[in-house]
Formats: sequence, structure tokens, C-alpha cells
Amino acid sequence: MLLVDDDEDSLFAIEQVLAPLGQRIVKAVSGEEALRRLLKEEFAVILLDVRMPGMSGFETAHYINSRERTRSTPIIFLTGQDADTEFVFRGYQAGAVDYVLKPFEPEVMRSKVSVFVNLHHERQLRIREAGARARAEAVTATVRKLQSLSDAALAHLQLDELLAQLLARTAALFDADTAGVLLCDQDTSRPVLRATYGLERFEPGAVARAGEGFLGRVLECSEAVVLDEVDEGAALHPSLTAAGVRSLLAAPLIVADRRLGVLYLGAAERQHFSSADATLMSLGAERAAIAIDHARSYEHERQLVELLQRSLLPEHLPALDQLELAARYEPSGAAPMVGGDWYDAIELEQGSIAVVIGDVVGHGVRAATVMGELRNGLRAYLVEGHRAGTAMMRLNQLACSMHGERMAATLAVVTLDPSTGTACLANAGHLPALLVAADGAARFIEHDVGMPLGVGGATREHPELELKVPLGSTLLLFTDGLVERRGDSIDDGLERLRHAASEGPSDLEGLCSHILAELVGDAPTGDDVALLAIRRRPPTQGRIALRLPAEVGSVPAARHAVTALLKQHGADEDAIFALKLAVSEAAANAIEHAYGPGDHEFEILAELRDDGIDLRVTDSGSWREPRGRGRGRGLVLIEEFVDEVEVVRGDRGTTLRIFKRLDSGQPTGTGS
Amino acid sequence: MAERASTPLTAGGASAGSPGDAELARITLECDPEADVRVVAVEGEIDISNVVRLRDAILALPNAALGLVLDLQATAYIDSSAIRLLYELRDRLSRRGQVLCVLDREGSNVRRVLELTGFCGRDEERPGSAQDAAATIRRRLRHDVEL
Repeated sequence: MLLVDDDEDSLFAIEQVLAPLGQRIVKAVSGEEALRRLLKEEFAVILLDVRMPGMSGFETAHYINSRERTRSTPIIFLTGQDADTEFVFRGYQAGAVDYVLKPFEPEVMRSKVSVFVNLHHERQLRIREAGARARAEAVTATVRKLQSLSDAALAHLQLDELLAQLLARTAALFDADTAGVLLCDQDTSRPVLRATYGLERFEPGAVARAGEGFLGRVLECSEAVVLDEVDEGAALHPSLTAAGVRSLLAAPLIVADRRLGVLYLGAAERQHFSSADATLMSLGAERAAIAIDHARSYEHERQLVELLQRSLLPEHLPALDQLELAARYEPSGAAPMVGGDWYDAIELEQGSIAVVIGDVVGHGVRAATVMGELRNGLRAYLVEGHRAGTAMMRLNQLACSMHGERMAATLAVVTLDPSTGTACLANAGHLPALLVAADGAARFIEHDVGMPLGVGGATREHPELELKVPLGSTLLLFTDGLVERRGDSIDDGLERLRHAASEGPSDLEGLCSHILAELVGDAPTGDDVALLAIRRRPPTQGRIALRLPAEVGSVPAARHAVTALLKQHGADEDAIFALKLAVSEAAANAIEHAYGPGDHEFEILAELRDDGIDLRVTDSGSWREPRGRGRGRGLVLIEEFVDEVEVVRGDRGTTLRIFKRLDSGQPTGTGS
Repeated sequence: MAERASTPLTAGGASAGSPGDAELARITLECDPEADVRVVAVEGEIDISNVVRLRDAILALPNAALGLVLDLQATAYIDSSAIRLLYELRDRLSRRGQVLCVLDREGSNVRRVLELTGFCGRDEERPGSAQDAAATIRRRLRHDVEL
């Protein structure tokens, strides 16, 4: 309340009387001062002395009433006892609501003033209520926007994409400058920063501690928390303080009883977030938590299935002298489940080989398990020496007995003798194999295709075809993921494959890459893609293909083999030394990195070309950087002694590729 | 009178009957009591499969000598495994105040490996024989002592 009286004693006295009301009291000794005060703040009531030098009480009241802002503030005039009726009337005209006569009785004054103080508060309350209604409407609108956080489309996003979407949308909802999400690691349950929005420097994997620091404490709350002002005590992650975050809104992500993590929003200004925002955030966090949980469990299962499936694919393709093999496998991209495609290559007796491609109907763990059973069953029948058709028939019987009508798969098997080129092909409902001649002419092998496995019950015979694979030609087996595109017929896809195979590069790996690039490219497929290529090559003297145990004893063996090859070619002593060194160092490296369960062998391929020798040493690990000062010497030496060195990291291991130019020497030794 | 002992170094780690069993290298250990220098001559190939045996043979020598001469003139092949051993030997010996001297053939691939890996300098003075090397060692140690 505002007290206006030129008599300071009087002001003091009134102040004492009104003090028990507990309101803030401001004093002014003149009308002008009162007006100045009124410019700055609002008052519940003004006590105004009528008789003042300068601007009188009436004049002051007049001014107060003429101002929009202060018009509704009640004015109580203070006057001496010589007021008469007319004077009182004039007072009301001037905007007074009441009079207090001097000398005043404290009780009377107090009760009159308190009436207006209460009125003021009620008005304020009603204003707030009106504001609340408007805000409630805004909230409804916002809740609808909140729905967007958990709408159906988001349910199919992979986790990282989902987090990015969530953060962007949440930040927009609350007009925040930055947002972020910490997720509790599934193994250690420590909260780890997984994604941010609006932060320049993102340190993925930054770890918070549950219960420590602001975000750590929010993790243990049950609702959203607002931090109005970020100060030292907030113990924020340094990247947040560096980004200039001054206020925070954070909510725990909880599903059932599990705490998944924390979702937070940051603003550059203080007190950006209100308690209504906090309520909204709690709601939003609930939805976000469900979506994240969903995406995470899909992710988990997907990884599991992919692991299972990959473990059933052959680790290495056999390296035979007269046969070259290459394979590509790409699990389906967009769908959360992995399909049941596989390929296999099995060495048979007397240098023959069987190659397989298959596709189990269905997805996920079930399909992968069936795939494993079929693969193992087929291997057993083929290794026993059965022809392709017989093996297929037996496999079908096996499958039917295990799964009855509940399983279906397409499959193609080819057994091949690389020395003669005779092959035997059996196809159970699978796409035709493609035969590419040495000159590039490609045609699909048309023949009697049997029923898919698991369909139509156990059969007595399965059709098989005998064919010849000429020297230099390539047989391609593949699954429908390679050739099926939404909107195109399968014939279009097959034709595209045929074209890509005939136009592709001459080396086998290059051909596979070319085919994948042409048919799949960057578009995520809805299905797995598997491609297996087998090429029959003439026996060459200028070639070594060795698979050796990963032990130091293999190093001299590798060296002797390479030396023999080079001596045959008539290479000079220095060239021989260089290659001896290269293969020994590379082999030693492969052996020293044999840690894993599949690392018990490594492979050496050496081929004499017109211009020099191409040497490849492949291990099934990843090329680890040389440790310690001594280790790097090997690579340095290799580089000094040969012309080209390259480390090629592949899916199944690392190859050190070396090339050294050779003068065409005088071949010695056995006749060509 | 010089003592001699000769040991074959087969490939370590090879399983019985595998190609690695063939003798890869033969080392000859000589001790010149007058010169008090040990000479180890290696004939053949040293790689990761037999370098450990070479190391064991050398370290088994009594270490009262002034130094060690490693004669690689008849060594057909060495690679980073041998170099690693050479660095180790040089360190060990120098800690005991002993000298390591390596003998190689001019223009050989073995010399090339020694130089490329920094073990020997290109312009370094090279003794021409085991006697030369022994004399070099004595000279070097006397020089050190005189300082």
C-alpha cells in the first residue's frame, strides 16, 4: 500500500497502525512522489491526504484515475474533521472509495484498509485463474503435439534415429536450445550420453553416475525436475555448461519399474521452464521411454539374430587351386528382423566342391535356427558322397520330419569337379543359377526345378541336372533379395543381374562388388542379400594357394613355397629374398594375431602375373597396429623390399596384399 | 686354442613330420681364449620359428668375455625377428660393459636388412673377418677404459 501525506509524523503513525496487516508499505510525502511511485509498481490501496502543498490530494487522485494502469487502485482519502458533505462528494468524484477522518481510530483505519487489500488479492487471483484457463488450452494443444512423440511411425525407427527425432521434437515443444538423452547401459546400468540436439560438441559415451550430479539425481526421481538456475552446485556435465545452458528441465525415463535413463532440455536463459512445463515433460518422458524401450529390444534381438546368422556362414571359403570363390552377404537393412538366407561351400573328396545357397521363409531367431539345421544336415549328406539330387531329397525328408508343414525353404546345391568341369545341380524352388562364360556371355540355367523344402511332403526323388562348367566361366548363386525390388517384376531384376554379370570386371571379387553395387546400391533392402560366385580356372604353375596352421612353424613352410614358385619362374636372388621376407613377416604377423577361436589358420595366395608376383596373406583377425617399437619393423622392411603393400580389411579377416615387379625370368624346373 | 661347438637350429613349434622340421640354420660357437671374445657364426636362415633357439644358445654362453661377434656372413636370410634379437643383445651386453659386433657381407641382403632397420649405420666401419671384429672390440673397450 501507498501512503501519501506531507506530514511525516502522520505517515509514521499510519504506518504503525497498518503494520499488523502484513503488507508492504511505501511512503510518499507529496503527490508528485506518489505518482512517481505508481509508475513503478502496483498497489492494493492508496491512502491519500487531501491537504497537501503543491499537488493536492484531489489533483493527485485525478491523475491516478486518468492513468489506465492505476485507475482501478482504490484510494482512501485522509482528511481533517472539517470535511462536510460536499467535500466528501467531491472526494468520491475524484475517485476515492472511502474516507478516513483525522485523527483516525486505528481499528477503523485498519478494517477499511484491509477490505481493499483483500479485494486486491482476490482480483489478482481471478486474473491468474483466467491466465490458467488460457494455459490449460495451450496445454491441450501441446499434449496433442506430445502424441507425436510416440506415434506409430516412430515405432519402426532404429534406436539412433528414434533418439534424434525425440530430441528434436521435444526441444521444439518446449522451445529449448539443447536437448539430450542418457540411457543406462544394458550391461553396466551406468547412464551414458547417447544422443544430443543443439550441442556443438557431442561426446558420445560420456558417462554420468546415478545419484550424482543433477542428471544423475534426476535418474532416481519419479517425475520431471526443473533447475531454474544453473550454478556450480548443479554439478552438470562440462559439455552442458560449455554450451551455455542456464536452466534445465529433466525427466527420468521409466517403463514399468525399469529406469532407462534421463531425458533433458536446456535453455540459454535462466528460468526458462515452468512447473507446468515439468508436468508436461513427465508425460512426454513416459511416452519417450516406451518408444525407446521398444526400439532397444528390437535392436537387441536384431543383433542377436545377425550374430547367430553370421556364425552359421562359412568363415573362409575354400582355397582350391583350380577354383576361385567369392561371396557377399548383406542382412536386410530397414526391417528390424534378419531373414534366413545363407550360403555354404564344402570341400568334398578328390578335390571336388559343393556350393549351396538357401533361403528359409520367415525372420528372426526361428528362421536362423532352421537355417542352421538345414545347413548342417546338407553338409552331412554331401560329405557322405551323395549326388546333389539325392542330398536334396534326403534333406527334404529330414526337414519334413523335424518341422512338418511349419517350415519352408528354397535351396540350390551344385557339386563340381574343378579338374573336369562336370557339375551336378539340384534346385528346390530357388531362383536359377547364372552361368557367365569367360567372354562375358551370361545365361540362366533353365531346368526342372523341384518343390521348395517342407512343401508337398517328403518326395522320393529330387530332379537334378548335369552340366559342364567350362574353364574360365563363373557360376553365380544368389537369393531373391538381390533381384527383387518393389514395383519391378522378378524378371526385370534377373535381367539386371544378367547384364551386370556380363558387363562386370574380370576379377571375381570385383565382379561381386560390381553386381552388388548395380543391383542393391545404397537402397536398404527389405530382405537379406546373398551372392556366391564360383569360377573355374585353368591349373597354373604360377600359383600357390595354401592354408596353414597359425603357428610359427608355418613361416618357413610359407617361405619355402614362395621360393619354389619364384625359382620355377627364374627370378633373381634379390627378388627371391624380397618375397621370402615379405611372406615371412606377413605370416608372422598373422600368427601373432591369432587370438580368436576361428583364428587357427591363415591363408597364403601367391600368383605370378605377367609383370610380377601378387602375394596375399590373409588372417581371420583384424590387422592390429604393431605394438611396441619392434613390431613395426616388419612392415617397414616389407615396404622397402617390394613395390606395393596394401592392407585390405574384409568381413572375415584382414589381407596383406603385396606386389613386386619381376623381370620375366628363365623358367627352370619341371616342364610347363 | 679355440673351442668350437656346432648346433642345428630347427624351426620351433612345428609339429612332427611337417616341412618345418628341416634344418633351417646351423650355428657355430667359438671362443677365443686369448682374445676373450666369443664368436657365434650362423649359417642358414633365421626367422620367427628358430630365433628363440638362437637366443637361448647365445645367452647360455658364459658372459665373462669382452664381447660377442655375431658372424652373419653365411646367413642367407634374416628378418625383423632376428633384428629384435640383435637389439636385445646389444642392450644386454652394453649393460654389462660388453660389446656386440655384427659381421656381414658387403652388398648382401642381410646387410640391407641391418641398415634398413637402423641396427647398423650405412657408413659404419665394418670389420672384414672375425679376427678383425675381435680386434675392434678390444680396441673399443681399451678406448673406453682410457677415457
